[in-house]
Amino acid sequence: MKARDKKRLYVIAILGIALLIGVGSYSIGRSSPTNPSSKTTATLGKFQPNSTVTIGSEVFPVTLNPTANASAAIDEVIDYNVLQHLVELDPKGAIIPVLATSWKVSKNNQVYTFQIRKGVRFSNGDPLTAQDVVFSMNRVFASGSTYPYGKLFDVSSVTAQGPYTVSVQLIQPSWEWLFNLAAYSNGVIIDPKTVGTLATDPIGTGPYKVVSEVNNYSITLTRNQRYYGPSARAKNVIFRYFSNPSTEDAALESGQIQVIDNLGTPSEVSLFKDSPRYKVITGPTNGKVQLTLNNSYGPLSNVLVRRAIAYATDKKAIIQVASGGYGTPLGSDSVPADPYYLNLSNTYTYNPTKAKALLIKAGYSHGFPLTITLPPYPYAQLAGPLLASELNAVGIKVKLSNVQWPLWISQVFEGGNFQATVIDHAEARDIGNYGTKGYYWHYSGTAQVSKMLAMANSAPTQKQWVAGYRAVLRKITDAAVNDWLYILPQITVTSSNITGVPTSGYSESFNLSYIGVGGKISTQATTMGF
Amino acid sequence: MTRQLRSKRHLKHSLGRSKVQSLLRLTLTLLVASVVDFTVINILPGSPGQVILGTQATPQKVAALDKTLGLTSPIYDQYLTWLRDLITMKLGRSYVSGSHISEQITQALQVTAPLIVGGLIIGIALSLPLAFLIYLLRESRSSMLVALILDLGVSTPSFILGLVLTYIFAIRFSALPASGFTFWSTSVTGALRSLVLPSVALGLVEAAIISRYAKNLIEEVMNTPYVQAARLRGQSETQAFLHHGLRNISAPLVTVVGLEASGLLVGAVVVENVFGLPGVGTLLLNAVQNRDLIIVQDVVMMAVTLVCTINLLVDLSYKRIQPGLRDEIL
Repeated sequence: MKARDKKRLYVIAILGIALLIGVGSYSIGRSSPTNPSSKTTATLGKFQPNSTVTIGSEVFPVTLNPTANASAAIDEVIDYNVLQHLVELDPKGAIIPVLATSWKVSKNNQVYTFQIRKGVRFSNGDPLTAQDVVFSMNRVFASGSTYPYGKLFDVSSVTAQGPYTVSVQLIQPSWEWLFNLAAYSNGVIIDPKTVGTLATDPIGTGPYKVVSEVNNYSITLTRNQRYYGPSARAKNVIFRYFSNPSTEDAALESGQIQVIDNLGTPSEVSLFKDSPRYKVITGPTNGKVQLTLNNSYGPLSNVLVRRAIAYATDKKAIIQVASGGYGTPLGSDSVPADPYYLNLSNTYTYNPTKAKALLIKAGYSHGFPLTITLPPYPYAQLAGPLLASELNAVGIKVKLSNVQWPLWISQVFEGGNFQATVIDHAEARDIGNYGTKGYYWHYSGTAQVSKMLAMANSAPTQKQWVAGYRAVLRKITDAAVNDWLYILPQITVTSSNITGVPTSGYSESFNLSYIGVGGKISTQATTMGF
Repeated sequence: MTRQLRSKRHLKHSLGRSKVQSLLRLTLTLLVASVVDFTVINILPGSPGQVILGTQATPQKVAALDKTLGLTSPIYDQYLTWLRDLITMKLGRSYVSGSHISEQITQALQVTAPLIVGGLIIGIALSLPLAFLIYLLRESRSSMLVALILDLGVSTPSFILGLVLTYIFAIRFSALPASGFTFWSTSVTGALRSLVLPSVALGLVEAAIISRYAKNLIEEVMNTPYVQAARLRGQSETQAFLHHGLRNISAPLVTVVGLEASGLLVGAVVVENVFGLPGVGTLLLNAVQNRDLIIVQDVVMMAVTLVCTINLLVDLSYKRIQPGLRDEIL
């Protein structure tokens, strides 16, 4: 072969490689939903009792013990599905009986007496007794307890009144306690014999039990054969973890997973929402995305300035940008699932002119500098620039500062060393924060709110309690303590044949009670929000 | 004769001494690195107690937990305890998850070690022929094209390449898994299959980088008198390169590959993220997120030890590959 021929050969080879790259990019351009070979019909198909459902999620739970860590990732897998409570929340946020069949409230809302369900066994075969309940609930407030969340510690004693009766005495009356018992994983009932293995193999009474776990990668659950209720619809449920959203999307597209529990960036919805191969299920959560204002920072200590900021932010536009149009505008620290919910989202309707007028009245006609600290979450990163431009438009000179999560925790949350920040307050019914002394936004009315909340909780009727809480909502909204933006949506994407997915995110648990492949779920389950 | 013998003995002696010196240097480097590693990670803000207990926990509870975790004892005390555990290889348990750290690292290494080796093999296997091809094509018009492709390769981040590969081979053709890892104990072929795309993503970028160095080395060596002589003896360019050029560029090439090894470690972190692999990178990232300080410290220390050891081995390997260099580096 002549040297020139050889060179020609090389050139051809290189062109070949280039062509391959070209074809590759072309196939990316044509995303797979248009791929004719993989088209399926949107029918649910026949129910498959031996199915495995693989759910893609983003944060691997560092331990499986919900009583030792506040990570929502633990609760997502373990709470309700493996470890159960006396009462739990259905997807719509209502309190439902689980390990308790009924309960009585007496002595001015301070003593709760539960009837424990009979015939319940833990997945290791141990029967559930009143003693197990007493043990579990005492463990929350025992000295040296590492239970997170700061909930359910307000108990003075738990006693077994009989083999299936337990009564709980609270330190002070509370209309929130039962809800906290249902909503927070501090309420889990554990088998006293298995405390030592909670971190890796929690033994519970739920529809599923843990089979195996691969660190930073996956957790496998299987149907609990000893479950007292109707057996789980899927034989196995695997949670698989992805730190990269694109990888997670690709896994769904290639069929490795069937569910994405919650899309981290709502813009990804466009990948799936028009394809018959997928279902997009959206619903509300307890997440209140807010522009937290440090009420002790110079200009922000003036209520007129805080109101001006509320008027200057266009919540609908922020929902479009930060949440792909999903989400509900918010006006105070409450979501529709709360019994005391008030729609106050129209208190400060978007009105830049009014905002400017208020700033002038407050003596800031030339505006003032404001640093908004942004944690690394997509909603904050997306909302930040828009908030900055909206506030700049009324004369507030905004600077954005990005920080990592541990730094946010220490600098903003623990240190209170910030001016404003965008954050999702994910906990349910957390209005109590406004009465917590030294809470990071430094609201001047904290002591008053604390008194109002205590008064409301000792009210004899629920109606009066609701009225008391609503008064707090009005008070903090009037003071524009923070600029509440919107309710964070839960956006679940599944393959089209997956049934029984919870439609909202009012609990931290991703409730697997009805999830399965094909078939139809009962109307009762549908009304509960599956 | 005697003079030669003496010089040989001298060489042997100094070689032994240099090995001891190298080892001492390695130990000292590691010790300094451990201080830096420990200090940097411990001055990072964010109390593990607060991260564990959440934003609704009372400050008293957080303080109590930090105390239980041993985070309130004097900082030098914490450092010494950690160092002792490292040296005795008793890594203990993570205080966030309670699981054995050594188990976690062993598990992660099952993914990362073959990934890096695979990436390196693909990188070297592709880069030498590619560099030689460029040499052959120098002066022709198509060399521009190759240079362009190489530049593209160097500047393409491996995560983009990873996504491209995923779309082609996993979504379009379902030939390989899109992401994830099948452990060796479950299925060896499964493990290999799940490592193909990640290794290629890592290796292609590496190939582009190494071949740029190799290109220059080849050009140099092909102009040396001994290669010219080989040509005059009638050997083709390829024969001349394989017989005379390759061995002579090995030493500098090993240096480059050694330097790239640390780059590969970083690349592996990215590739693991793109392919959802439970390797060392994922372990590290999650540990940082969970404020699992001990794991972060241990993994960083492991990486430092690895890179330093590789550098030492590279140093030592020169002497085997090119005995002539001995005097220069001793």
